Amino acid sequence: MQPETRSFKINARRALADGNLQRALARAKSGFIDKRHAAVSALPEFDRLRDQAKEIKDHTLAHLDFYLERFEAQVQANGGYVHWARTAKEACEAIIGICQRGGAKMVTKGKSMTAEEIGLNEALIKADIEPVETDLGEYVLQLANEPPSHIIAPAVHKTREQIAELFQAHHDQGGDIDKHCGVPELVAEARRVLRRKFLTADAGITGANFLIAETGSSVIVTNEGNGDLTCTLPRVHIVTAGIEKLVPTLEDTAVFLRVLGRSATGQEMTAYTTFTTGPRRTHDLDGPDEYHVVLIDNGRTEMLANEFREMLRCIRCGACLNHCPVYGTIGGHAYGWVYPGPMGAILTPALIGLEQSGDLPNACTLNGRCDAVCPVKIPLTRMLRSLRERQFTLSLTTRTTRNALSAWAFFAKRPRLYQMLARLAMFILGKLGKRKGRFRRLPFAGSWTRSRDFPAPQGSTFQSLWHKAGK
Amino acid sequence: MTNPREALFSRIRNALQRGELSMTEKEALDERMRRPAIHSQPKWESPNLDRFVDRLVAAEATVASIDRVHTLPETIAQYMQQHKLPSELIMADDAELRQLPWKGITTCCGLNDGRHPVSLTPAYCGIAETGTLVLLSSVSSPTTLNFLSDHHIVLLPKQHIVRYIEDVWKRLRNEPQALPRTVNFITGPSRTADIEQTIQLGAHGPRHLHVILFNDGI
Repeated sequence: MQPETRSFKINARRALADGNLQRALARAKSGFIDKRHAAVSALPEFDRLRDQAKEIKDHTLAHLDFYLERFEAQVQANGGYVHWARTAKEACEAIIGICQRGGAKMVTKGKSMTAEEIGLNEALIKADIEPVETDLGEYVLQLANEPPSHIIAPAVHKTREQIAELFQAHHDQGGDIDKHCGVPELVAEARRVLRRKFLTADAGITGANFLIAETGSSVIVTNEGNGDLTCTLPRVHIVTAGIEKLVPTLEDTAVFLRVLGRSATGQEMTAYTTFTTGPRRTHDLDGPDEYHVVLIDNGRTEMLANEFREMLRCIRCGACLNHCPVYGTIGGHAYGWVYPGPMGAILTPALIGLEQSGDLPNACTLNGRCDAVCPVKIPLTRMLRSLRERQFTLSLTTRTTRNALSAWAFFAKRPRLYQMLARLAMFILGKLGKRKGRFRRLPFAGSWTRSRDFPAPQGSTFQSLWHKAGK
Repeated sequence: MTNPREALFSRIRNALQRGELSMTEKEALDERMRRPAIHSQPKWESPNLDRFVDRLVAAEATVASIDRVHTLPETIAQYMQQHKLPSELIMADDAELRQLPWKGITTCCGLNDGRHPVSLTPAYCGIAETGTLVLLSSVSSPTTLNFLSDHHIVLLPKQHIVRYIEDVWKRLRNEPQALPRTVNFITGPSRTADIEQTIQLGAHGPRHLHVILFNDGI
C-alpha cells in the first residue's frame, strides 16, 4: 500500500466531517474499552502477566538469532519450509514463487497485518493470482477496495447499510440482500459466498500471532474460523510473519494468550486458538501437503538496533488504538498507512522512514492511556516524544513550528522575563475576556479556536497564585 | 547476490552488537526450552468441572451431561430433534463410537466436505480456566470435522478436564507421538463482530457448539 501519511492533516479534517465514520467510531470505542475493562478487572494477576509478557519478549529479542534457528530447525524437522525475506519485495516474491510452483490460481487469506504491510494482494494480482480475503471485515474492505482502518476490526468504519450495498453490487446472487438487511443476514450471505472459495482455493495464506521456537508451530488467535479453513482446506499453507513473532516455549505462549484476548476484545479466550505444526501427517485425511513459513525483516532489524527495539514486543492487540482519543476522533484511515493509532505512529516511521511519516508523531496528546493499557508495556508516549525530537533535529517540522518553539525556548530559558510577560498577557486577556468569560477567536491560535472557545484567564498566573499560597 | 538468510542473521547480530552465541550460551537457552517455566496463572476457588461449564456457557456453547457413554446416541437424537436437524452424523473414526447403538441416526466417518450439517468429535481434554476444548488432528479425527458443520458436537470425559493451559502441554509432552499437525483450542461457536461491532454467531465455522460430558472412559 502506497503511504499517504504526508496528508495526515487533510485526511484528519475529512474524517472529522464524515458523519458515518463518526457514528461508527463512537460505537466502537465504548464497546472495546468497556469489554477490556471488565475482562482485566476480573483477573487480579493481569499486571503480573504484563510484566512477564514483557520479559519473555525482551529475552526472545535479545536472543533472536538463536530462537529463529531453533524455530527453523523444528519446522524443517516436521516437513515444512522456512523462507527468509529482507524486504517486502522479497517476501512477496517468496510467496508468489510458492504459489506458482504449486500451480495456484486462487488463494484464500486469513487476516494478516504483515500481508498488508508487504502489499501482498497487489503483488499477487500482478502475478495473475487471485487473492480472496476471508476475514469478514477484510472481505468487506476487499470489495470496497479500501485498506483496514483498525488492526483487529478492519471494517470498523463501515456501516451495515454500506456493507449491504457492497454485497448487492458484488455478489451474483445478491438478490436476497437489500439495504435494510440485518447483521445476521449479512453474515450468512458472506458465509455462503466465501464457503465456496474455501473449498476451491489452491493455497491458503495466514498470518501468525506467535511462532513457537520449541515446536516450530505457528499460532493464530481468531473468532470466525476463517483462518482455520484457510490453513486446512487448500493444498498449500503459507504463513507470513515478522521475525519478532517468536516466543520460546508453549508455556511462554500461555502468558500471551492470557493477555491478548483480554486486551483486544475483552475475551478470556477467543473462539479459536490454533497451533499448526508442519503439513498434514502421513495418513491424515485433511490438512495441506505443503507448509511454508515466510519470515520477514522489512525494517525490524533496524528497530532491534535502535531506541525503538521495545516496539518489537507489540502483539497487535489494538488496545492502544481503542484507548487513544486521537484515533477515536479520526479513525484509522487518516494515519495513511497500514498501522494506525499510537502503535502505528511509531511503527510507520520505524518501517517506512520518518521523512515519509509527516505529522504522525504529533497526532498524540501525550495523555498516556496507551502506555497504561499496553499488554507488553511498550513506552509508546516516550517513543513518540523521541520521534518529535528527531523530527526537530532533522528539520522535518514546519518553519512556523520551529520558529515558535525557538521563541518559546528563548523565554523559557529566562524565567524572570517569562513570568513578567505571562503576568502581563494573563492580565490583559483577563480584562478583555471578563464580560463573556471566553474568547471565540484569538490571534495566532485560529486553528485552535475554530472548533472551540478559549476560556478567559482569571487575571493572574499559576506561578503567582502558587507564590501567594506558599506565603 | 547474498543469501537473504545469512544477511538477515548478520543484521540481527549487528543489531544486538555481538557475534554468534557461544556453545555455552546456546546450551543455557536450550535448557530454558527443555525445562519451560510456568508463569502466572489465574486463581479461583470452584472445582474444575464447575469452572469449565461456567466459562464454556459464557462463550455461548451448550453443555449436556450423561452418565454412561452408551446413552450418547439417544442424547444426540434428542438434540437433532430439538434443532430440527436431519438424522445424519459425520463423526471421528473411533472404534468405540462406531460400536454405540446408533439406531435412527445414519453415521459416517471421514473428512467433512461441507455437506454434513452435524459432526461429532471426541476432545483430547478441556481447560477449566477458560472453558476451552482441546482437539487434536489425527487419521481418525480430521480437522474439517471441527469447522465445516453447522452443529459441532464434542464428547469429553469429565476426568479429562485439566485446570490450566499449561496442563495441556504437560499431557501432550507425555504422549509417545509428536505434536499433531493441528491442535485446536475451541471456546464456543464461531463468531464475528465485524459488522457494527454486533456479535453474530456462525461466521465461517459452526453456528452451534454442543459439548457432551460423560463419566466413564470411552
